[in-house]
Amino acid sequence: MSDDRIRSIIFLILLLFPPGRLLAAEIVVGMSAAFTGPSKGLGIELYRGSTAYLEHVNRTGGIYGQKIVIKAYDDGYNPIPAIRNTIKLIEQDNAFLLFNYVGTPTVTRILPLLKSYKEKFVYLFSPFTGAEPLRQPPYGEYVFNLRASYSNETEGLVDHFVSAGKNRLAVFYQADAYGRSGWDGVKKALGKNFGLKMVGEATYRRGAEYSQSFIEQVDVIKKASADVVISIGAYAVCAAFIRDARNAGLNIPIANLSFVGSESMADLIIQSSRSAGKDYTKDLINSQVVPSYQDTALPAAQEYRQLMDKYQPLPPRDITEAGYAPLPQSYVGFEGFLNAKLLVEVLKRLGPGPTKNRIKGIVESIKSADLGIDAPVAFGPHKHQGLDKVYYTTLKGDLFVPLLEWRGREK
Amino acid sequence: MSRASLFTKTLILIVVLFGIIATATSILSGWNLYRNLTQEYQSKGVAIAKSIADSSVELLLNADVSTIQSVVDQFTEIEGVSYVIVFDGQGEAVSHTFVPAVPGDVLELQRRTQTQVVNGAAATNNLSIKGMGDFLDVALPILAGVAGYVHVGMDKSLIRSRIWSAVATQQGLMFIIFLLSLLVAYALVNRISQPLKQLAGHAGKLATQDFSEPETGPSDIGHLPVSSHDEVGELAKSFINMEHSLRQSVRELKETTAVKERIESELKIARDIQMSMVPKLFPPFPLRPEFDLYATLVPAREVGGDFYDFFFIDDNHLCFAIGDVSGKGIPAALFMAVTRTLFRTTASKVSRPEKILSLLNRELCRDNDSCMFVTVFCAVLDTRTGEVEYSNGGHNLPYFVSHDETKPLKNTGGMALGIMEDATFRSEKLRLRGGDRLFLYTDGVTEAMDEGGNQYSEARLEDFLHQANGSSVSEIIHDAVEHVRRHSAGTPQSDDITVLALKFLLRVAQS
Repeated sequence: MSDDRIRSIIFLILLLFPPGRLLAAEIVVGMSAAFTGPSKGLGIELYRGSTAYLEHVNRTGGIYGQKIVIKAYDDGYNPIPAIRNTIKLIEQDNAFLLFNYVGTPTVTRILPLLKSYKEKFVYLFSPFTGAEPLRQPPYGEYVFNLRASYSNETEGLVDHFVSAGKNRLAVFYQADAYGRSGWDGVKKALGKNFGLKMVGEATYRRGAEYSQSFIEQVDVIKKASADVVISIGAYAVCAAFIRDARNAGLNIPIANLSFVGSESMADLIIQSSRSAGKDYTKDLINSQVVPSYQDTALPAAQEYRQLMDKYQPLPPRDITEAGYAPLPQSYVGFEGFLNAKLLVEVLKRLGPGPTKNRIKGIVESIKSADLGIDAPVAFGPHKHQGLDKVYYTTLKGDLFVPLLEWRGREK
Repeated sequence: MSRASLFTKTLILIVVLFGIIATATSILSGWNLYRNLTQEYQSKGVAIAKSIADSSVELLLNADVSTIQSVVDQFTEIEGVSYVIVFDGQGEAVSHTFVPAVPGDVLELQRRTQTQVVNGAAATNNLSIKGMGDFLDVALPILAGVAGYVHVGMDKSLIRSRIWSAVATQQGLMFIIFLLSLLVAYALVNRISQPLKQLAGHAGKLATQDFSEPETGPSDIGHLPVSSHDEVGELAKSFINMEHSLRQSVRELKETTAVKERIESELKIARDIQMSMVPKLFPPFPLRPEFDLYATLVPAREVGGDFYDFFFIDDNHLCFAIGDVSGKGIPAALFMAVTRTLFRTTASKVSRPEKILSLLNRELCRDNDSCMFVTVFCAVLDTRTGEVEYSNGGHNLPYFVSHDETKPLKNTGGMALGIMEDATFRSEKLRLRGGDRLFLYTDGVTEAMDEGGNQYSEARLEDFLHQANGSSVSEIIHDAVEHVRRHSAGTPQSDDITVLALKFLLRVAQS
């Protein structure tokens, strides 16, 4: 065997098994989310929020010397690419766990994959959705949620509205698993707690753009003589619905769930208000699953704002569309930040040389973890949702601020 | 028949046929496709509904509508599926794909379905939703209707568009076939009509062609029987054959005509000779005042078998005769020549008419292989007394015309000459007075026919002679011939016309 041949074999080995991998210098977590399309703001801000914290951890020695890397793929908020990305992450990228997935229609479809990869101990951490299937059998055991569920959010909204004397609730929702999840939440909250039924419902097709008209849906709600609308949609459409509702004289309170990404929605509404010369910002209530990042009393909020300023993380290269202006801070970004904190906490507890088969046991043993917010995070064998608290905010100026007076919004 | 009309007819026929075929096949395949697609869509819808119903039982019972929605959403990605809606056991829509809201028509249909679907089988309904279109709604109960119902809406417009695209494809194909057929038909019609055109042109030229000239080269349609092995080729062959035959017969006709012309010129000479054999100089005996005589012979063809003759046997006896040889033309003329020559010779030997005929008969019978015969009337006039002795060999009896009567002579009963060698002839006598006439003729006069087939007849001749009493003999002869010609005007002369008239003028002699 010639020297040349030996050299080329060594080269090949180095190519196939780079030293970093052999030494496991990185822990790769896989992410599939919308980085393109009308919901791209969610994927990007979630990623940026997480990256801000992971960057900080990686720069300060990593986890037992290992750096954490997010391998992100775009699914455009569509189920089929999400499934393809997940298989790729598991088979090809050998992701340690799945992290920060965005969307109900996408995540509900990859759940069976987790079950079929049971032997590989593939767990999904902190997906950006509050849908029930992630929290219930048969797939709930493969998912560890940090955020409160949509039913937590809708139940909270319904409780507050009805208590404030608003009995005629209507729902505007996305015609898919996400929308249905929220619709179901409202329906159950009304029925179970108050013996009421929603007075009207209108749907829209997933992937609709801000530029489209939703006057048909506005008409359906108007005909139902609702006095509150709960929107379960993506931010672009929810903003468009608010615009069309206000233009059509439907001036009742409109509530949105955490999934809209409040700042992305607010941006569109404020822009529209300016260009139309109308104020679309009134009577908007957004439920959130993380506390306000402006609340400087919270250590995590301080840290988030500090690290975002410091690292100013970029959207993932190659998979993001050009022309997106990243937000300085946002509820979605803050959620991504907290997600990363939970991830680091879990990895720390796994100890050096972490193995996937130990993940479930470790996480379920977390009884009270402090992420630096007003509530502790707790998991258990039958509790795969770390937080339950819902925060209610309203648009004031260009910021969503905590809502204090429900009755006061009444007109 | 021009090429254009042939082509137009063929084209119209093809267009009509293709129109019928295209319409029929379009309707048939459209209908077939509609039936098949509807069936396929229905079974597809049933399969989807079953699949949803099966997977939704537990989800419905667990009230996990979000997962049902996820299931339902997956099926809308299948082509042809327009909507899916799942009702729970209370008949409430818990998952659907409608935007912006569930149409009232669907809710109404569900109310009907609850009574319609009883034994777990799928119910298929045609559903028309205002503003959305026409659908094939397949409804299936979930857990026998206890857990709920699922409806799957199959888009009918897709069926329609498929049918149209299939029909359009088919029509496109038909059109291509049609164009190809048209090209083929055009080529075919051209192939047929081109030779026909050549034939027609050739036929047109035939009319002006000189068939007496030999062919100037190969025929311009000579290639057709070789190139077209069909009716056209046959026709061309017939044309060429006809042309050949025509040329042949024209050539033969020309030869025949040449022969005939030669014969005719010879006949003309023969006639001249024949005419020179009968006396034609009138008055024949200007120095004999006792009688006047005139005769003429008008042959039916160029030469005839009639003859007349007259001559003095001695100073006082004039022999005159008229004869008619059986048959016509050259043989008759030759026999006439023989008869006349023998007659003169005979008359120089004997002077009694019956002797003349007897001797002449014997001469004619000798070596008469052609079995010809001749009727002869022969008479001898004594110019001093007007006595006429005559004998007849089977000839028409001449007329005696006096100032008060016109009658045929008394028959002597002899038969035609040249038949029986020992035939006997008798003679009769009569005496002519001054002004009496004898009129001799052949049967060419009395048997001359008019266009209606009526003969001139003895009666007419007798009338004519009676009325012509007093005229000179030459006038009588000319008038008689003219009279006969008028009678038979328009019909060709069928027999020689020969007349001879003699008028006795004794008073002149006595004075």
